[in-house]
Amino acid sequence: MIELISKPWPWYVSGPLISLVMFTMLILGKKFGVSSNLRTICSMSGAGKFAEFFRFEWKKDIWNLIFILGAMIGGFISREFLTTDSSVAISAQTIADLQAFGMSNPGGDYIPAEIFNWETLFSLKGFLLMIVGGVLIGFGTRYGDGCTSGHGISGLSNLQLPSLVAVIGFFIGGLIVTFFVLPYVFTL
Amino acid sequence: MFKFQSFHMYGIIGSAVVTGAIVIAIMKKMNVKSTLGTEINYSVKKMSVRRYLFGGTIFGIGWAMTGACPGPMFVLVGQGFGLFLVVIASAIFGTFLYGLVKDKLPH
Repeated sequence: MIELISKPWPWYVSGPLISLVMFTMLILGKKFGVSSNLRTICSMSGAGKFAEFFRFEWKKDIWNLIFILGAMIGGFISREFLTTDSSVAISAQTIADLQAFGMSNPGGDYIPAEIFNWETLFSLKGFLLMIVGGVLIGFGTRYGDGCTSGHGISGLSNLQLPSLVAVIGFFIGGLIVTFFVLPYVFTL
Repeated sequence: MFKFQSFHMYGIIGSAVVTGAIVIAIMKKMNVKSTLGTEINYSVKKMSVRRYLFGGTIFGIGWAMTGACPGPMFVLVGQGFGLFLVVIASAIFGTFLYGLVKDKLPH
C-alpha cells in the first residue's frame, strides 16, 4: 500500500483531492485560497503603519495561516515518508529543451538545483527568477485578488467570471515568460 | 505546462475544477450550511476586467519565473527546499509594495 502511494499520484487523483480540500474549507465556513496569507503576514508584521490596505482584522484569518502550516507539514510528510524517487515525469521534449539550455539533469528532482541554489541566488539569474519572480507573485496575487487556489480552483468551481479573467491573465503572463523571457534568463 | 508538452497540470486543475463545480452546485441546490450553522461563503467577486487581468498577468509572470504559485511555495519549504523561504519573503514584500501603491493602479 505504501508503495502504491509512494509513486507520484496521477492527475485524476490529485485534482479531485484538491477539490475535496476546497469542499472541506467551505463546509468549515472558510474558503480555499492561499495568497491572502501574504497580506495577513504583512499586517501581522506591522505593515498597517504604512498603508491602509494592511489595517484590517487579520486575527480573523489565522485559520488560513494554520492551513499553510499544514501544507508545509504535508510537504514534509510526503518527502520524508512517501517519496522513493523524487524525479519528475516531465516530457521527453521538455527534457530536451532544458538540456539545450545546459541543464544537466532536467526532471531529476522537483526543483532544478542548477538554477535554484544559494549560490545562484546572488547572481543576476537567481535574483531575477527567485526574488523578482517572488515579488511579482506577491504583487500580482493581491492586485488580482487571488492565485491558482483562490481563482483557479475556488473561483472557477463557483463559475465566477472574474476568476476566469484572472486565470486568462495567469496564462498570458506565464506564456510570455516561458517563450520570451526564460530562454534569455537561462543563458545568464 | 506552459510549453504544452505535458498534460499533467491541466489534468490536475481540470479535474479539480470539474469535481469542484459539481460539488458546489450540489451544495447550493441542497442549501448546505457550514459546520458552524452559518451560510457558506462562496466568495462572489465583483467583475472588473482591468484588475483581474493585470493582477493575474503579473502573478502569472512570477509563477513562470519561480516555477511555483503561493501554495507550492510553502509546500516546497516543507519538503526541505529552504531556498524558497527567499521566494516567500520576496512575495511578502511584493504584497507590501502593492499595499503601498494600489490606489494609483487601475481597478
